[in-house]
Amino acid sequence: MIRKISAAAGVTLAAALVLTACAPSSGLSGGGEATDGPADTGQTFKIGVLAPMTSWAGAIGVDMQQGWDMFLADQGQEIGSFKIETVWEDTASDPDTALTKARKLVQEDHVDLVIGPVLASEGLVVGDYLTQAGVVNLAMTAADDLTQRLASPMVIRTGSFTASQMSFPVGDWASKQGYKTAATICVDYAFGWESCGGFVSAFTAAGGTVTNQLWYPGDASDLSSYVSQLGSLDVDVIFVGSAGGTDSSNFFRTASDFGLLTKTPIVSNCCTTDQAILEDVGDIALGQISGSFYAEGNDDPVVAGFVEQYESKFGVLPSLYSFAVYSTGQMVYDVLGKASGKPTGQALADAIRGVDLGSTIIGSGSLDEYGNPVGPVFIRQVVKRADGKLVNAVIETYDDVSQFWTFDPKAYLANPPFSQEFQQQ
Amino acid sequence: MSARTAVVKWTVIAALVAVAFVLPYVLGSYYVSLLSIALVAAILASSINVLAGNAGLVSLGHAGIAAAAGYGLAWAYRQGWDLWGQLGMALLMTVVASVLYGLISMRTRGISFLMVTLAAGMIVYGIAYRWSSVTGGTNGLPGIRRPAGIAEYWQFYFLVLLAFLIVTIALIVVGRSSFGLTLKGIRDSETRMVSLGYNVPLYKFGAMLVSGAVAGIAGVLAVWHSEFISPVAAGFQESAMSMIMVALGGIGTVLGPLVGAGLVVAFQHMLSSVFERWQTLLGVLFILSVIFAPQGIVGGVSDLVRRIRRRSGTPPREVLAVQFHPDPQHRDTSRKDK
Repeated sequence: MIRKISAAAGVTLAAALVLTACAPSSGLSGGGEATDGPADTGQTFKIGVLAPMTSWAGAIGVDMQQGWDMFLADQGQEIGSFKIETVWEDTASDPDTALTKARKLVQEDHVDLVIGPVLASEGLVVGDYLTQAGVVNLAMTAADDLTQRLASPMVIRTGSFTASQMSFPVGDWASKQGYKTAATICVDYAFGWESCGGFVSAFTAAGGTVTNQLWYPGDASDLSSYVSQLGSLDVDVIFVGSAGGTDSSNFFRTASDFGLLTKTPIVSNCCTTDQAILEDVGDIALGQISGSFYAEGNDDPVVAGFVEQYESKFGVLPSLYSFAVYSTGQMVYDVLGKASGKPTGQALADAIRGVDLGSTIIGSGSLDEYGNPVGPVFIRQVVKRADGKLVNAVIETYDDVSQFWTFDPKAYLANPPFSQEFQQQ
Repeated sequence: MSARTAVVKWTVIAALVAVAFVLPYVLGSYYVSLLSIALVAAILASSINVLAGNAGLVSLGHAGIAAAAGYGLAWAYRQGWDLWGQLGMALLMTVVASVLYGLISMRTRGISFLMVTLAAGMIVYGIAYRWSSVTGGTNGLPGIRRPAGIAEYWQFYFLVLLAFLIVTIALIVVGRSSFGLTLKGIRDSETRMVSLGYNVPLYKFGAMLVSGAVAGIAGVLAVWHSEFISPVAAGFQESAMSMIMVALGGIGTVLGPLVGAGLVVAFQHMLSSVFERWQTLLGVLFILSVIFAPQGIVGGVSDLVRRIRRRSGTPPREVLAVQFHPDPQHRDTSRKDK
């Protein structure tokens, strides 16, 4: 027995040495990171989706899956001459896992494009890898630099606007209400800096003054010290840039307890009045103002139809992520419906950049040269529907909002990205 | 202890190494990159294992040292420094982090050592998270490229494999040196070592430096693999996962970190594609291993092998027991054997 094992091991060792000495086989030297398998599998068009399905952001993955299921049920599994196949991968809300899963989608599944990821921390690393691999990435993260200082020809943000892009109109709207002075409170990482930066830049450009800026840590569970500071300030309006999780619910509860909600008008970024938060805090959020590219209470017939269908199918209102994956699907179908041969790589990226957002549930607009949507941002107010549910209704629409607002893109990109220190373009 | 068992042992080891060198010729690029991830994770786990196995110090903050090295490399790369500059920066960061870890933990043990290293890891995480002008904050630092020569995935795999082999051999040597034996003495009875005149905190400090150097290697390799670093690399979850790898594989065993890392990576990246609740399964596996094989999988398996051999009349393989069995008594007998 032992002799047999030794013999087998010896043979393996000898074979190994021979192989190692040889030049690497064609499979090794060819292509490297790029797809080295049969990329063209007839007329099947393979879509990989990177979504957080476990860990802290797991709820987002569920929303995306439901949105995508509904999209396929609506539009069919076939478009033009292509049969659509979807491969889902869980990023576990972790950038390294997201990268490994992106590699798997490209090298093992040979997907033609990748939708996602959603989290800002995952966006840049996946975009960087897919650019090297020559695979189109339809990103869903809000991280500004993905389509600004680190823009890539293969990366297109179809499933989100930048964080600051959704706050610019809020700053402008606040100024138009006659507010002269403002204070801000934002979560202390990139998403909060960018949300706040958008508001501060637009509000200041419109003639307002920002007197105080507060930053709270992302894991703060008690916001009372911040809220009481805000209560002592003599300002016309307060901007809240939360991460859209429990921090937002905490803020509303504490602000309600401290009487801040009735003392000073409050406006907020995209996610502070998310549907999940409205369900959580209830009526105290009534009347709150925020800015986003999606409003579940939008009475535009296309969006209202989408919301109604989703609600009857899943029993809940669609979130931003369900909406975004649906509109991303529409953009892909728009391109595939017109294509004769199978578009891949740069040709596919260019075709998607040419899509008219008016043909999607986003409503209007186009994609700019950096791969970011120029489209409508809604000023929304929390209202109560006939059935008692709280929704974000549209009270004003800013059409064709660019990620650079009204600023010159070149000068904008020469500035550093938004941070605690840099807030005003 | 027959010469024949020694031959078998070395043949098996040689065959394993040979297979490891052959794998990139038979596996697809994705699976080779998974192997690289597992080996890098095994190196980080080894750095925890050298402390836990020899000195009995369980750290929950080692990802912080690896991340410090990784950030050093990534930052220097983005400053346009050459390879030696980048590696020098990574080395500097590794030394700074290990010295700080060592200074604050050298007078602690047990739970307090665990808490102090946990806190140190959180400090590194906090710096990476908040000092965004240098670290890129939550966005991290993308766009790092490997130097020519290891740019291809398979070239990088061979580098990682070599690094793992060198680290493993080096740690065996350290474990058997008088320094390693002193650490084991401290693990078994700190008060006795103090009364014998050993400067215990200094030995613990030295152990942290050795362990930190290994963690730094893992940090550099991790950044080269993902071509990216973010605060997650320094986070608690990363440290805890490495600790789980060590405990699952077997604290104080040579192959434990590799087995643990292989299992965790397989769960994290392969099982998760087909089964959403992979974390639950990993947890169940961990609990089972704690109950049925408290010395980890490697420790449990070598126990089993020994028991079977004893029953079949073959004398127990004491030499392997030195490596695989953390029980100090076995070590003592085997040392006499030599």
